[in-house]
Amino acid sequence: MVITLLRRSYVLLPLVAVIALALLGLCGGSRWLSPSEFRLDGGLHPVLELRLVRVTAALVIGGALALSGMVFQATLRNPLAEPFTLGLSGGAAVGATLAYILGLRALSLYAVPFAALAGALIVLGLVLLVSRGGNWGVESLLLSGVIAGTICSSLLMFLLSFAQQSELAGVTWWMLGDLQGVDPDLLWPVAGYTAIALIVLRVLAGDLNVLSLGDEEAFYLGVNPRRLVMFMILIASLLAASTVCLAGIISFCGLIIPHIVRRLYGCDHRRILFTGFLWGGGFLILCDLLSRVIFREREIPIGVLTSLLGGVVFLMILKRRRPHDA
Amino acid sequence: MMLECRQVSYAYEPGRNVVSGVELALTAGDFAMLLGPNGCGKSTLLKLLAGLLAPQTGQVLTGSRPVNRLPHRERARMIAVVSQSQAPALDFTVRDMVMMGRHARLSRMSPPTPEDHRLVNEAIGLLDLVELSQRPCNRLSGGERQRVAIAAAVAQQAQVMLLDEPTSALDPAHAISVMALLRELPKRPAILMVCHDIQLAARYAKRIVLMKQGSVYADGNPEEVMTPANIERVYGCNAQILRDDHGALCIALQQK
Repeated sequence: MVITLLRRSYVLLPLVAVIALALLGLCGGSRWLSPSEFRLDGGLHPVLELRLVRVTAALVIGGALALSGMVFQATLRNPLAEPFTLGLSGGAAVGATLAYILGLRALSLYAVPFAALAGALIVLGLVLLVSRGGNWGVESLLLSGVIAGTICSSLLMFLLSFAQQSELAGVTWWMLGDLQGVDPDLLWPVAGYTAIALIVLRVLAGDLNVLSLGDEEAFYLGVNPRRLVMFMILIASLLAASTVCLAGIISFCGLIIPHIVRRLYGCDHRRILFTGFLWGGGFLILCDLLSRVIFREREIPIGVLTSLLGGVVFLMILKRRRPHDA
Repeated sequence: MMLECRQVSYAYEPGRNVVSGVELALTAGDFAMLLGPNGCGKSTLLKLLAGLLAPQTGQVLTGSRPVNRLPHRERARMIAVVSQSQAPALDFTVRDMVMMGRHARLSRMSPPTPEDHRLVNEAIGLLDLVELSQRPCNRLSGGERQRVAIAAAVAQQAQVMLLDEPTSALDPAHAISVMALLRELPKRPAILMVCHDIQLAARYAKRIVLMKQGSVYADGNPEEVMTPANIERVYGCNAQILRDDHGALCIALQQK
């Protein structure tokens, strides 16, 4: 009964849930803020202002990661592909860190996201090139992705060890994923881009379905696979890279959410893209709230929570895979 | 004339033509089997006809336009292809897969119309998939998946259907029902099917195209083409042509 209701109402119910979670995210935290306290002396309560940024960031980042995961899983025909397992988040983090260290942030607000995108695309390109022999199958792609990710984290530590004295001191959050350091100036452009990407992907959702059948099939069904795969990968990479600029590497969100969503609502992307965005956003708002309330006096970086949860789900999927997927 | 090859040649590596100088025309209502030994260029010819490969010499035309230059969606509305595909990576249901056959006709902005749903249901019914329609396609057997692919092509409502060994994994009962079904499709598309089962081909085809080493060796109705001499020269084995009680062709093969 509950499952049927969930399936029927695949937009409304998640939307209501996200609104409720967002409200909870604004009230909850180290100090409970009831809605009657939201306004203070004619303005917004300063605590509310901070939380507003975090909740919005969680919504945008969670949604963007879920979208990005769905696109990668369909275009690469690999149910375990997502920004983190492809090593792309690592590449983005290296790019963004380099941009900070070189002082590019001062030049332009967009220098960091573009450096992150460049890093992400370089790593993704290398990973796809290396695993091409294995036809981007589950194992070869994951292996190269995870190794690329590891190399990126060493690079990151190397860079951070140089930046002890600068503004980067203590910013291990690049690697852990944390919503405390979200740059509010960047949040709005990223939110805007995510909204545009959501609309574009929704329009191309049928093509995404067809692409997941393979290049030859897609061609026969009326899609130009080369151009469209490139375009999709670019959109998804920019989504992932911009989340890294905001909050560092938040792992596995792009894996768990698409899996839950596909299990509940089926695989037709025309149905599940918007729902996936909502689930991703809701999930991260919840994780963020948990990270603030589990220990009163100390926050847990949100990436720690998502990798704990995501790691378990990842192993479950890997174990449940049917033999012919290999 | 729906699809026409004019002196078409193709080589994967220079100097080694897999398809050479093929002349072939498909017209509405054709139900042609493409036969020939392994490696004689059947699948390559199919890919050339489908516009996936561009001929190095000659042309594949529809009307007066080369098929490999058509806009993708327009081509897919005209030509449906059933290839030897892998299981899908995501858990699409049988119904999802058949609906994807309609991709080139679906609007990007609005959901499938009642007409789309009707055609999809019809194709699912024709291929005996009603009970499987909500099952994930990648959990079906090879033969069941072949039927899904054929259903998608039927739902595509194209004027030309090209099929690469669509019955290779089907049990005999489903194989003959698929043949009978394709032969009698109401809109009479032009159908060309790669086939290795010369029994099935001789019995159901209205036309047989026999290939040898990249060229068309014989092309005509089954009685004309399936002669002991042709079979001997193309496959290199002895054949006896028999008739069953209903007068249909039966071919008994023997090693030379």
